[in-house]
Amino acid sequence: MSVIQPDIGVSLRVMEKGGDSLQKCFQCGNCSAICDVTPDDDPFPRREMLYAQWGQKEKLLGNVNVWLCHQCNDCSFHCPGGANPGDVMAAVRNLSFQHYSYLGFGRYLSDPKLAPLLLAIPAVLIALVVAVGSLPGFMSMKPIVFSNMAPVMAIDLIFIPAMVFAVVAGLAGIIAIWRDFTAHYGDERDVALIKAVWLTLLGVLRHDKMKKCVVNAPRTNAHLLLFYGFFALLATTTLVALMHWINLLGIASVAETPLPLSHPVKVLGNIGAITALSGIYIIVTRRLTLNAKQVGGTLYYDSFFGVVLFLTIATGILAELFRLVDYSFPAFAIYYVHLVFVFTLLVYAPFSKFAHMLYRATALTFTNTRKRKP
Amino acid sequence: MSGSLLVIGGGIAGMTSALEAAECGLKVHLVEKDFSLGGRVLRMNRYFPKLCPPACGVEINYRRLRSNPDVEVLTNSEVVSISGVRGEFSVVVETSPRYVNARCTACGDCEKVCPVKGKDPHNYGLSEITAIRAPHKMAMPMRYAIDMDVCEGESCGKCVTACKYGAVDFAMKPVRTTLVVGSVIYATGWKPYDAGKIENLGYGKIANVVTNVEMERLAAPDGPNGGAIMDKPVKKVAFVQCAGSRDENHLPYCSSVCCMASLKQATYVRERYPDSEVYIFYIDLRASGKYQLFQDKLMGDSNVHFIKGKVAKVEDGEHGQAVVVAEDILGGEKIRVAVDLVVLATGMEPVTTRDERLPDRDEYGFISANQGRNGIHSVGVAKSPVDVTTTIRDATGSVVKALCL
Repeated sequence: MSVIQPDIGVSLRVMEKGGDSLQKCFQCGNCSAICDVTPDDDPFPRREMLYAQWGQKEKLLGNVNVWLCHQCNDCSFHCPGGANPGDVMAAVRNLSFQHYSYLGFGRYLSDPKLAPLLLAIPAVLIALVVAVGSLPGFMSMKPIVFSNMAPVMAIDLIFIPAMVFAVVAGLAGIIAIWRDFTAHYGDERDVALIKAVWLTLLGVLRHDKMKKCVVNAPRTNAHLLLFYGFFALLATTTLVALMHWINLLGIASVAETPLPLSHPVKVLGNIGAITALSGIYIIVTRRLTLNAKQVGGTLYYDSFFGVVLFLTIATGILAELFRLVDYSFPAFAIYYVHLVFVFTLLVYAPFSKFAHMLYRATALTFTNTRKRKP
Repeated sequence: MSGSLLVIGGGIAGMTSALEAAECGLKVHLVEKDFSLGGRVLRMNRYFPKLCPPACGVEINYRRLRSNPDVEVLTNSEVVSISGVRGEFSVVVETSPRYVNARCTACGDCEKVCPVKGKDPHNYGLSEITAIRAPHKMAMPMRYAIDMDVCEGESCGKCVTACKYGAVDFAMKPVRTTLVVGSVIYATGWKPYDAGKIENLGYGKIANVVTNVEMERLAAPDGPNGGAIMDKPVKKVAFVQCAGSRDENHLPYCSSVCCMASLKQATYVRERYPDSEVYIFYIDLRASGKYQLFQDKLMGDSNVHFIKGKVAKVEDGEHGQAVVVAEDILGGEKIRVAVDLVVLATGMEPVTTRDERLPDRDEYGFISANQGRNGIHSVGVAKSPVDVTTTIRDATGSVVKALCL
């Protein structure tokens, strides 16, 4: 006989993180049957609802299904009991990335009281860069050159170590969750890891799973816009930094910032920003105007990620516009804010909702290593 | 007027209330909005758990009604308003014309010449019937009536000529009657929940998806296909429990009868087609008390498969089949079962009346039971979703309250 030890603390934390409707579930199984994303031989989220009700933490943490869920909300929309399984799964994911995040930093990103502190860290660091590295009188120099205020070298002195930390933290999270998946499901692989990674990459690029969503279908295209817009911007930032270092190290002589609007990298950046912002616009208006049963509840950790992402892109565009119309003070001030948000977005990525990218990709890869029935 | 009672609804609840009260000495007015008494029970193939046809029980009630001078039956009539207080309600009843007078002998000559047909409500629209017709084989009064939504009117007039007795009368007008009664019993009953509202279950969109009330007709010997269920031998049937019941998007309450109704209907399939397979998808089976024995018997049949898991989707399958999608909770897998026939166990919705002043209804439209002190009573499914046995007991018991006024 197996004895189950219910942990009410775990249930309460799930309820606190958006799964407050959890106890309405009466285990009819409608959710698993309506879900088009779930594998047939291990259907979710009905079982996960039960684990959450009974506070079965170890059943939830190493559970790959929690991450296979893309929160289509077909389950919540059709739930006869109003138990909103989609929101419960989101809450479990939140607890999950808090748990797996490096040094447990994830909990700081899920606590609204700590938001000022989290923003203060990059604000102070970048203020230091400006104080130490800026050229005297950069404000009145024409044309406006942002690196006169924040030299690339000084910025990178902070960014590169911070990003190394973020990457290490992200990897640590991935390894930790992979280990738990293996403990949960065993480590026999049917498919080579490299092939599984490739399948995951293809699936993510096409948004295969999200395309199966029904009631929240318009979100898929919005997410595609945001996804490709974001990666275009990330590529832009990386290319600009590379070009700077190529010049600095004397490898070759390439264009320097500010790049003309016609420069391919600049074009990529501007298109990326517009694409990403339109994606955010659709997602946010849907969340604000539609029933939470259809689009899911919005909690602090959703908003924090969304707002930081939006402000990062919006301040980038605004700083560019003010530079183009030659308004020094707003251009530099907004550029400073932009740098603060870029830091917040990227360095905190493994600990914020941004980490859904890491953990979901890991879960998808793990699933792709084994044959499940179609 | 004390000593008199109005019963609204001539189904099993209303007939029972009227008879019990009249046999205790009350003067009863029994008002039925259809052309005939009998209500929903007469559309059932069989009752559970004894699997006897409802006709015999209804027949006994008809005989009691015919021999009791204290019950005045008003068919094709609706209560328009109720005013006054306990002991002295003034009730306005409107009787719509049936365009066939009391001279009708139900010989059927008119029916033979009637050129137009409409959907037969007795068969839930599964078959067609002429505009002039007997409501059904067990009609009381056994008198023809014309469905004016279908009839072409006096200009056609074929039935007028065909009738040897001069019974067809297009000049009939609605008649209003005022009754004075001491108390009122609402026996207004139910209607099946509109299965078309349950989007994912394919009703009206996918072939061979029917509701449980339609299944009663399909299995009834006097139904649209002589009780054969389908026009080909039935191999696989899926019963979808809680189709719209216990669902906050539809009927939030448990309709209480659908589990037993599906178990009963499973016997229709198994008896008629010994090789058939029946799948019953349920959240939990609510066959309480002695009904458990009925369930146990079916569970002993290896061709009846009980699957714990609510059906979330019905999809089009190959070869005219329908595919039901559910999580087999006890089996641990999501399954898709292709079947010839899907029966949606839709729930019961209370019927509302034209008179909106009375009585108090709960959030779902059921008439609260605790209005007895006002001289207003509710019985059967008008009060809560219950089966026939419970309805009859409730109706009999409620008469005591009406007697006390």
